[in-house]
Amino acid sequence: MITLDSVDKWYNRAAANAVHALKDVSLQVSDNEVVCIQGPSGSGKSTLLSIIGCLFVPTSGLATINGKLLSRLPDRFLTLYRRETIGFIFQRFHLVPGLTVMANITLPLLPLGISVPERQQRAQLLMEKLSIAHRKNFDISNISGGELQRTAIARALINNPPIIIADEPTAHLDQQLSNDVMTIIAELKADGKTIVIASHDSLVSDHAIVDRCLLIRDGRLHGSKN
Amino acid sequence: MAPRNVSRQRNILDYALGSLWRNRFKNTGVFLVFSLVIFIIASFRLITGSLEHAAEQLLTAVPDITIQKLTAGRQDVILLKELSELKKIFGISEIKPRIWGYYFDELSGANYTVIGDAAFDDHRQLPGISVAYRADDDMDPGVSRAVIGQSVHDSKNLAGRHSFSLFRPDLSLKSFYVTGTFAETTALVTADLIVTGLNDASDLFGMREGEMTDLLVSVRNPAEIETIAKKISERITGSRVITKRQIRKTYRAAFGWRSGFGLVCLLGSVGAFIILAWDKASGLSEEQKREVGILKAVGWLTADVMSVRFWESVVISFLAFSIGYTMAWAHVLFFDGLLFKPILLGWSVLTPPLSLVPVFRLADLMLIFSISVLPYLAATVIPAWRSALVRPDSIV
Amino acid sequence: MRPSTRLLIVVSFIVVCQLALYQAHYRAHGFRQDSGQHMREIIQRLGLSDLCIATDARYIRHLSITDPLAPFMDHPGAIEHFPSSSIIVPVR
Repeated sequence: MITLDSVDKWYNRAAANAVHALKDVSLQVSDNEVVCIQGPSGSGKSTLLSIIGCLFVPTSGLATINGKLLSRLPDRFLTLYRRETIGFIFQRFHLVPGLTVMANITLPLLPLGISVPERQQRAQLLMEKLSIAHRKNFDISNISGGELQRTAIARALINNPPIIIADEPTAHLDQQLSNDVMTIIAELKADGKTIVIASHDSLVSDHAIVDRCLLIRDGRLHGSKN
Repeated sequence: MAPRNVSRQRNILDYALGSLWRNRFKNTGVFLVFSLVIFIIASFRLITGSLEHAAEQLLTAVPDITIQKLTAGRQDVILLKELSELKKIFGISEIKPRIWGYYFDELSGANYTVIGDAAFDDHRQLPGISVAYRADDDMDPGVSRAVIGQSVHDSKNLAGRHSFSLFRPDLSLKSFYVTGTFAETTALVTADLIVTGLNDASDLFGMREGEMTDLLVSVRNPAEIETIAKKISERITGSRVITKRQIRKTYRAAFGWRSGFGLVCLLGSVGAFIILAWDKASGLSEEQKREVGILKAVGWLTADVMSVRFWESVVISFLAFSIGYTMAWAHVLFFDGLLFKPILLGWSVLTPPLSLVPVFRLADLMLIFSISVLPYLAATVIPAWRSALVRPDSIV
Repeated sequence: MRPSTRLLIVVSFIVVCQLALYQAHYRAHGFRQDSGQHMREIIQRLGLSDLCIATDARYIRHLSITDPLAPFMDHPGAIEHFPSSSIIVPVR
């Protein structure tokens, strides 16, 4: 269960260019729920996702995941928690150039001291599931957009996290590939994952697997769409 | 826990090596310059170290006390009759008169060291001779004999000839018959020598009978050298008394600003390199910032990112140090320190084969390490820490 | 092959080169030990005081036994302007 209670987020609060990105946001996401957050550009979607995804803490308010209070955790502990609990799929994939598909997927496992054979085994299973096993030794600059997205998904899943955060997962994909991504997300839901997606794509927000769709505008949540 | 930590560090090391390879052009430049700097410093230190070691090993045999005479601040001749004063001092086992002078050959521009040895007149065989041209007993006693060093032999272009001439002060010629040449393996002490009898040396330099340039004193009890030296200086007015200890301390470490001028210049190059290293480490490109942001976002801690930078610095600096030091060793061992040889020889016309043998001294290794690798690691620590502070949300 | 394994191979190669060099040094050193005995005998016999390195001036050739005034008599800055002085000068 993910709970946000009266969460505010300011950037550069004391400076002239202060931005009040989130204003008094409260929401709950139950286990195994798929929630879509819709809103225009600059509405605060990415900030909301970053707080849920433990990339940073809110300026005020409470954020808890499964009863663990995260909003006051120092960076180090936040990272350790994020490592085990969150799989983040970024809007622009954010894969490391110059590394292969396999190396990118196993990146989160390196600082855990996991051995090469185990890393490769875990990555192989995911690559086969996502149909990119034939690209495992390819540099990511030599694969297609759809394969990049699936590589990013595989990386997010490598630690088998219970919560998946996806920021605009279909943003750079065509219709067919977007459908493929939603199929993958449906499989993740079937596996028992809790999924929070930010998207302004109706293909995502209107998809059958989405349990709830929340609207966000100017940093405020405006209730659900369905 | 320990194996997990080792595995973790090895994983991070793998990533760091990959990162170095991805930026191989920049890193190769830094690596090559670093290796070159270490090569130069290590060569410098190995050369001076080998000379210090050679001196330490060889100069154990220098005379206990050498006596010279100074008049008006300049070296003057010592009269043989001063010997009688010295014989009164208890503890002296032997006193040898010697003529030690220099001959400047105007034709070649070479400076030879001429030594008049009393035992030479007694036909005592000199050690270390590789080529003897004629048995001493067959020689006409009137002919001046000499044993010469290899560089003298080459400088005089003797080839098949066995005699040469030098000018006396009155410009008359004095001929010498070469009865032997010192072996090239002894060149470190004999290269420029012309050894002849005391009388022949005296004749060559136009000195009067009974005049010597120095007296060599042997002492029965080495512990008494300083005491006896003091007594000698009291007994012979105007004397300059040099002990074995004073001679042997000459070839030690050249680290004062004057004597270590070469090393000071090299330290300047190290300083410049450290500034370069700092500059390179500090300048994070957008791509590098993004990469750190990605690592942080997928669960890497700041400490993990710093470990990557640490390993990168360690690999570059340790590899550069190893290669630089190894090449310096080869440079001195196989090429006689070709880079520094011209500096050592200066304006000398004679070029003795130095045959330097580098000496491994832990202190030298640690010194070179601490003035190269440690400053490099220090220069990259703060930039590494700053780069590791890139926030994970910076990529969102 | 893991990058760290490749690094290990490179480091091992460097260590082997260093050991080979040290072996060559050891042989050269051994050779020097033999000729060293001859050199010590020559030094003792002739009362030599210095190694023959630079012969460009008498006070450079015989660093340890030259009086401090000798170079000064030629020129006040004499001893500094010799190239070899940037590496070795007499210790006072």
